Amino acid sequence: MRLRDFLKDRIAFIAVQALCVGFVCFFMHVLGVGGYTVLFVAALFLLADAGVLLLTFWHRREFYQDMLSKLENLPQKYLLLEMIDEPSFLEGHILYQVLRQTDKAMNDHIAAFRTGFQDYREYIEQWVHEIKTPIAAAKLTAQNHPSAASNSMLQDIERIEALVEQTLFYARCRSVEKDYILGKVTLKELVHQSLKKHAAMLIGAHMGLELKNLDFTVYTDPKWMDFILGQLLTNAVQYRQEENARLVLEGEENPDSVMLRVRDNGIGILPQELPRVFERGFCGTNGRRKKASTGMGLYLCKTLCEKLGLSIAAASNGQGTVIQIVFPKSRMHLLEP
Amino acid sequence: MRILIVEDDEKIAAELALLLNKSGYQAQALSQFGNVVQDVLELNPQLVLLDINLPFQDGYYICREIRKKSSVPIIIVTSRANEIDELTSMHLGADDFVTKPYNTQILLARIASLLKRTYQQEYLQNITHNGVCLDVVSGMVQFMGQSVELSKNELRILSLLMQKAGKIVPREEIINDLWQSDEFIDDNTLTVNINRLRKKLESIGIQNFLLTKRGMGYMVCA
Repeated sequence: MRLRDFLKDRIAFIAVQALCVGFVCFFMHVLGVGGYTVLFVAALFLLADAGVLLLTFWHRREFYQDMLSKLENLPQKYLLLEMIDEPSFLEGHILYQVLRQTDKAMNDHIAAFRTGFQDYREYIEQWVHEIKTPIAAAKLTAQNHPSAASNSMLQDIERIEALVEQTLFYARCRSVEKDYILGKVTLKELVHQSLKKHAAMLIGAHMGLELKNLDFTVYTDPKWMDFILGQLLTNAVQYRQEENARLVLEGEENPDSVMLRVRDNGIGILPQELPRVFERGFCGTNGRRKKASTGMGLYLCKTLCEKLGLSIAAASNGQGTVIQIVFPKSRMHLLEP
Repeated sequence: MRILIVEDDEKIAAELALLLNKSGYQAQALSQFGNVVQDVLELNPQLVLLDINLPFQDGYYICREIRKKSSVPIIIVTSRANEIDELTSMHLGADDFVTKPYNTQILLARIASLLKRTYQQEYLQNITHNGVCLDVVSGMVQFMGQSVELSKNELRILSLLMQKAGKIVPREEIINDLWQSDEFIDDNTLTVNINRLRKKLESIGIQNFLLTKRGMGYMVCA
């Protein structure tokens, strides 16, 4: 708030005051009042006006300046009202009341939205649990009556199962709550659990496996890791090369972290697309060619990793893909003997 | 081994029973759920597969009530896959926890390992077929007074094939079986293992016992 703008805003008042003083001076001059007296009266009036204007300016500037700087520095701008005091002058008072009412209306709006979102999320979770029963029944039936048709159906059922699982984790990773439990687990346990779960898929793809240096302990949620590794294994199978497909899972310990690398010799990722593979909905040239990509797998991996405090990165040199997950060593880890 | 299935989805119960019967167990499914605890105690199975969502009493209650009177191994089967459910189950005395839609291989492996843990002595028995005797505990094959020691993988392959003697076992199924015991072998390794196994069998005079069915898998002749 600058003085010039403030005065400009009050130009009518200043003009009227000046006219009045001019008129009074002229009137006194006509009545024969001495020059010094007229000057004195004019100065008195003008000083009084200027004083009142400056005082008002000072007062308002203090309030607005304070409000603007708080707005500037607040990360959550909508909390501004909590930070300022109600001003004593009329316009400020009106502004404050208006802000308060819009704030409240917005809060109600957000609360309604939040409840709706929570309901929706709960519904999705419940739905996922309920759909698992018919999927389980269909899967068991297909497995119990092996034939060419049921084997083909089984593959589709497993695909449905994987997509349903993705839905559940999507619902979870969108929520602000922490619904994971960190536990102490070795890379070996994590890897073995996922390999066994996806055994049919990997064996069907004739994937050769190599497991190296997996005897490191990490602190993470095994269920979430199982999902993340499952996505990586599915990708490795989906983007494998037909001949001699291989998958290497190896661990590495650094002073402040443990790393898990999942390396395949598949068709890889184009270098220009590499920075975008973790983006939501990004399929890439190879993904579109395979037609099975949803662009959600790696996005979910990244989101879940971030929630778990892990970092995940991808590299590819056109000869396969390496996904690296870094488990930072927590203080809990360091306290161990 | 008698297994009791407590599952209110009739289709799943029937298919599970079929699967378990095919895998060499005697499975039975409950059809009434008014008094599950009493039924379980009366039928006295050697293992119980228990669903959580049941019409009259939930699985947790049933699990706790069974535990008061019996130490029969219980595997909880549920579609809810969260840690709280798993912890609750374990806390109430369940021995294992499997989530739907289960991978049948994993379910069978869990059942087998739980049975093995619980009834170790009775369950690990020798498998004999056409005079060839496989001693699972010591990992030895005996034939006409001669014997040879098998490696862990060879033992697992041979016991699977002998259990299914007369049926062709696909390569994928053998590999899967080894994977479920943490041996993540590939196609080539399986071929090597089979050849080595065959040589060992021949070294004690067992000929034409393990047949290759090209493009399909392997079998032990009937």
